[in-house]
Amino acid sequence: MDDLEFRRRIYSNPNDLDNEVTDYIADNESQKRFVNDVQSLDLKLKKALEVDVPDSLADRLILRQTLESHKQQTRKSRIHLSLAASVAFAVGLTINMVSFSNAEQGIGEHALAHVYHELKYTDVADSSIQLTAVNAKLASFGGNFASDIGKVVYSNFCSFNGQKSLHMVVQSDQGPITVFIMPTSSQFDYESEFSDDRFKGETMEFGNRQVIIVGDKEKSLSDMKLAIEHNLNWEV
Amino acid sequence: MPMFGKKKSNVSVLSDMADKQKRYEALVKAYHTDLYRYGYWLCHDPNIADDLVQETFLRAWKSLDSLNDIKAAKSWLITILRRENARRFERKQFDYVDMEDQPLEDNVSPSTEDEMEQQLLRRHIMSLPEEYSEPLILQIVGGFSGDEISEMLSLNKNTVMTRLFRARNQLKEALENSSDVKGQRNG
Repeated sequence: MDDLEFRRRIYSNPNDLDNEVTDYIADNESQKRFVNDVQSLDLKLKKALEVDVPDSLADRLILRQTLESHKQQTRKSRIHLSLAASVAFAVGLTINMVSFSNAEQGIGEHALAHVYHELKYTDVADSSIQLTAVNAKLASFGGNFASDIGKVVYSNFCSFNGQKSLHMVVQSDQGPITVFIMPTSSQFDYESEFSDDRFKGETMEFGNRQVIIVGDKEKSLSDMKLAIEHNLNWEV
Repeated sequence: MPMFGKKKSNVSVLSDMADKQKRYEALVKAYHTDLYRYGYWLCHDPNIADDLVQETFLRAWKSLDSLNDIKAAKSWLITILRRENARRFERKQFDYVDMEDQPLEDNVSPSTEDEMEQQLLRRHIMSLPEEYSEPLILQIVGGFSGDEISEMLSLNKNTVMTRLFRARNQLKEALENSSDVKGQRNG
């Protein structure tokens, strides 16, 4: 070890005194003094570098972190809350759609509503419509009557909730009977029989068409049903 | 309601949180002093040093899970603080005052010879180039070895040792010169 190396070592780290260094300074007072000088400089440096730390720093560090993680948790619970709100909203929406959608409504219910709605026209209808005229309309559904099913007083296309249908009123010995003829629709729940306190009705299915007949509750529909089954033919 | 609340895991999450909290507080108590001093000598401003330490510990809290070796905690915190200090310069450059023209933080008027010398020494440390003062502070305040410092500063060890040598050399000379000046004045 030469003097330069020795000085470098001491200046780089005055407290790192290995055997090599202690051997080197063993017999040399000026070098010992040099080591002492640098070590005492280091002590002074240490004192000088130890600036005062604000007393409250540690407490503030802990406080800030506590607030921060509290904020995060609140944010999280707010996310949960908004999730819950969205779920509730979606559920509400679904319930609404289900309960007011037509899918839930039976075909009978709609047929009855339609009958009531058209009563003011059908009640006063007194014309006698020719079989050919009825068949002309019925042709658009691919059907035709082989012979009269009764006195047809009303025959018109109408919208059965958006579904084009043939709406007929037939005078029979069982009173006026309303006949709907239309393609089978998935919009409605199928009901073979239905009624309220004034009318009753039945649904007949012919492949992908259906015929709904509605008549007075106190009267029989079976004759009309038979007549339709016998007379109504469908084109293939 | 198994769908909404898993009581058991909530409890363990809570105890994890409490555990993390404990580790964090231990870190704060053990290292905030050294970290503040290191920050102070890095930026020469007590307020900025305070901010730096705050930011450092906030970041430390967020990534506390990544700290596996508690022995590495101090150098880990120092590394975060250095990065925070660097970000300070990436952001808008504020009007930083030149410390040499400013009164030092130690406003108590020095009464004894020792205190005067200490204030003088602080002035000299501040006027050291940062590349010299930083390893010196890490060594004296942080108590890090040459190897650790070279790793933290991404320098090779010889460079670090040379800078430590020059730092002390300059400080010693500066002190000797200023005592000469003082002596001449007094004489």
